[in-house]
Amino acid sequence: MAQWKPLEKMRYVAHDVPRTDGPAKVTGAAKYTADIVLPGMLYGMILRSPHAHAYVKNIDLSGAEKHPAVKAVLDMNKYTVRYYGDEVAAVAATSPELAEEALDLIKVQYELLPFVVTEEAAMAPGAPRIAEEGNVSWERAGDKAKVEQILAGSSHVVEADIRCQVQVHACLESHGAVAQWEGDKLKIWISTQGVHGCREDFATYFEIDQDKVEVICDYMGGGFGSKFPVGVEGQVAARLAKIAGLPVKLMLSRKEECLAVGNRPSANMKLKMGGDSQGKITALWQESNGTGGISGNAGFPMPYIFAVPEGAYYKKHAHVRINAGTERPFRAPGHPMSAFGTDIIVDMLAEKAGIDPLRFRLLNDPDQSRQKQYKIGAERIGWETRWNKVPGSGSTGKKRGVGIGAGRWGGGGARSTKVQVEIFPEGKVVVSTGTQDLGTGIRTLVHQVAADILGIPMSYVTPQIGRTIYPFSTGSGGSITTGSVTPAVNNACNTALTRLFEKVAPALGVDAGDLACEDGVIYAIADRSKSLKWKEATALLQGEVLNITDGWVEGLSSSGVAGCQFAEVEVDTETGRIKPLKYVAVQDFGLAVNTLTSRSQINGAIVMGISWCLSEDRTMDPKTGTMVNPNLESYKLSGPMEIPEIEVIIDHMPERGVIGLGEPPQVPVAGALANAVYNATGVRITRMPMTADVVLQALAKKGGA
Amino acid sequence: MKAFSYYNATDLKDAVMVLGNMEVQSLPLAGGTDILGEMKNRYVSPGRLVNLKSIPGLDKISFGREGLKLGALVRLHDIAMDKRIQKDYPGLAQAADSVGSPQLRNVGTLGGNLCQRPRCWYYRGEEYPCIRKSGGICYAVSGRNKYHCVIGGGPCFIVHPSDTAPMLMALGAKVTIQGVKGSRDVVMDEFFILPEEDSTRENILLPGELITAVTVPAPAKGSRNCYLKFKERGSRDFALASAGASLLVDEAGTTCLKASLVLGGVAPAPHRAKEAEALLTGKKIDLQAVEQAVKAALADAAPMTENEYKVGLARTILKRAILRAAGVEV
Repeated sequence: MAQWKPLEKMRYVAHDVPRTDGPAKVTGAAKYTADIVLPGMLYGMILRSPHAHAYVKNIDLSGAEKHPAVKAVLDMNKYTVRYYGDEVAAVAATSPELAEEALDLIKVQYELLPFVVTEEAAMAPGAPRIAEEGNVSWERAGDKAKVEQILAGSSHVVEADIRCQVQVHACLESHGAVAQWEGDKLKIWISTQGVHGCREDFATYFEIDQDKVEVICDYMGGGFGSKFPVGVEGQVAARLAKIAGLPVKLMLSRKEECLAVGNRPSANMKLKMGGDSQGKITALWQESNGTGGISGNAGFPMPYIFAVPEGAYYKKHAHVRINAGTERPFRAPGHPMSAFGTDIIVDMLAEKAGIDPLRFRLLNDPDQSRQKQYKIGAERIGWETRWNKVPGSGSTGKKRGVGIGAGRWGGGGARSTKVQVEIFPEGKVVVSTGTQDLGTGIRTLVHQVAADILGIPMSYVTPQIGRTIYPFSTGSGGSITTGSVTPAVNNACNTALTRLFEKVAPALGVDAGDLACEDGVIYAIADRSKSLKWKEATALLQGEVLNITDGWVEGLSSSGVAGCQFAEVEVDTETGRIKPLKYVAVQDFGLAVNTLTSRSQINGAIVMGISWCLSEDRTMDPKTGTMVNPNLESYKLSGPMEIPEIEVIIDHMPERGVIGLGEPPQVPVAGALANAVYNATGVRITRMPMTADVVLQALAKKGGA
Repeated sequence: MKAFSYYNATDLKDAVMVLGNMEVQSLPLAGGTDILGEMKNRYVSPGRLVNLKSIPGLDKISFGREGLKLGALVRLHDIAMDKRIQKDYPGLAQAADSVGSPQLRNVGTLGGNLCQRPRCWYYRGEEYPCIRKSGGICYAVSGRNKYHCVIGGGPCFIVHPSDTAPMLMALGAKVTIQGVKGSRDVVMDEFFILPEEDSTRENILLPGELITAVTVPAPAKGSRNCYLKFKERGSRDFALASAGASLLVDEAGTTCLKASLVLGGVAPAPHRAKEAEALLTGKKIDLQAVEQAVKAALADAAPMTENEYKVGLARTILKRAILRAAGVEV
């Protein structure tokens, strides 16, 4: 099995390395999909249903077709629209404004149907059936009677009603594409998490060979799971371009982003947990529901983190369809909800059992990494002095408290990943692979790893990613990009170096196997006086470009990570404002290839988790069936004032190889915050978002009780 | 956004003439931070925008015997950063500084802040032909209303979104209005209107009329003021509740001789807390007196299904604004 070069031999890996593409991004030199402008390019736009549920009785495109600026019109051939924002038709015109004007000329006759936009309404007896399959599909596990019996026999039992709201991805860059046909060949710039997946999607959709499709995503502004498939918007861009015979750009608006390109499902759970006199968890009882919009899919893994004895878990979960845009994967799908519910119920059980929640976790969490991490994090947050033994016992007015959350994730690597290394006679090295950088920093990681494995400065290396003309790489999901790409880069660079050594060995009068390269110097291991500078060595290629492609190898990556977070908050009990003051995040992800971008990932995940917990709320209006806040004014993302001091502790385990980090630090954020709010106020808030009204209401209820 | 024509006004007279010409529906453009959003959402589609920034002299801050005079095109950033405003009218600088984000304050103007349209999500969506858009109903009544008004509503239930308006009203400011027939001064208390009077506009301006200036009386000896705003999200948000407090205190600085208290974020217009003003006047300003006074504010509140929390919140914000204006530490 392959092994990483010893860390002490590497100049870049496991160090803070600024992003390779940072200057291009901040100066605007980096071209995103929205920046692409082609000669004769048209602008595509989609007509969407203003109704939550309706039959399309008739659609008259003639007005748009007659518009002089319109070059293509598409009927989506929908018989039924099933949510506010569902696609109905599309046009391509010579400017965005004229495209919008043309959409107004399409006349659609709808026959309105009853709709439901909340889980409660969808599950109510006599609710209108909004899908052939029915509104609800059930998922069950365990024996209810048996679990209730265990609970009845437990020393301590706690109960909680947990509500996690739907969260939209809110990628800074919207979904969209620029499509260009040359004969039967499609070239498409698209904001995507998988250029090769998109190539396959387009080829399948248009029934053409994959080699006829070229997909480009040099830069992108976030996906978080919502940008795997080409989507309706990608298909529409390509179809319009085909009809018009001209390139078409179709980028979605912020409103469309909120309605139609995915979200994190809700999770509403009633939980009961039992504990024995020693503080060990005896049973977990769960009745829950969640909605993933019209597709219904809304699962989350339970039991989570903590050991529940065999046969002591009961679940009845409803996947609920409502008339709203369908879910898509979102940064650690399911896990943040599992963690939120679990972190709260465990905190409650600890209190009931009279055990400090930190010690309760040490008692019940079987994971050895987290056992260590809890202690590190507790020390850094100052648990012993900052945790209020009596919740809410701090000073009056603004109250402070601390809380803990925990998470896990998988990761891994795709064996199918390939990397091409080209060594040019002038010494330049180009490393290419068809992965894509969602903003996580993989371009920089490719750059670092290549330089370190070859033993040359990063300035000699140019990383190339984001295009299907480069060797196959997998989609960026499940936090597997680093585990897929960096082992392949490592292996391909090793292979290339061996080949280069074979070329230069005769000149040094040694065997190729006796050579090494360090700091840009190739030398004989046994006799360092026999050496060549990198560029002297590559000059020996004599006009030939050394070009090899190699793939992923085992031994350089693994999967399975653990993390925990500690939050300190301040709650203004008069206004209901929760202010996160500090987060300590302890996270394991094996070998940290770039400690700087790793900290960035964790910082970003904490900001995103706080945003979900404190302010984001997709507000559906049951009367009209619409989302009333499809914008970044009233769909409230955290801003600079919500961001606390964040201390990241990388639980470095280089011996495990690389493991992805994109998702795991998102998981424990909200649970830690909820527990800190309880510790500060003595009032348990179990529903998100914890906006001022929710907090004030909870405080008032407590005060009146 | 629908197509429109663009006109650079040469002077005030020209602007009101063009705006008053009803052949083409025309709307004034200053900073544009509000009207652009309205036009992009397509429920406001003027045939013509009349640019006021091309009129010289409307962006001046001056101090005279009458007090502080602010041109309608003074940017919010300039009010927030003006040293003399910060000293004489700290509440006004605080109000201007609490608006939106630095980017918005850099282009947003005072006139625009006073005349901005409500943020109600039904008003802001082209899908909802609501009463403020001359439609039939207020969607908030049976819909989602956590950000709506708790007093002064009906038949429309918006809140007035301005931060400078409550403070200026508390400071006793007046606005200068230019129309085709000339100009007039109106005190802030008479500038805003409630939906029961007209649910399609928020103030007395008629088509073709403009605010050209705002005058704030010179600070009397013993005057103190403060603006406090509570935002659901600390970064860039409109007020859930805000309060402008302007006090006149005795020489000792401890007794309230006069109180002018105006709430934002709770009513379709800046809401003067008359009961609290009366209770505070003549009292020694301490926590107990202020708590008693603010309890009387919003006594007639009629919350909707999702916004009862605003009543207590507004009282808290008012209490804090008074205490901070008076310099009372609690």
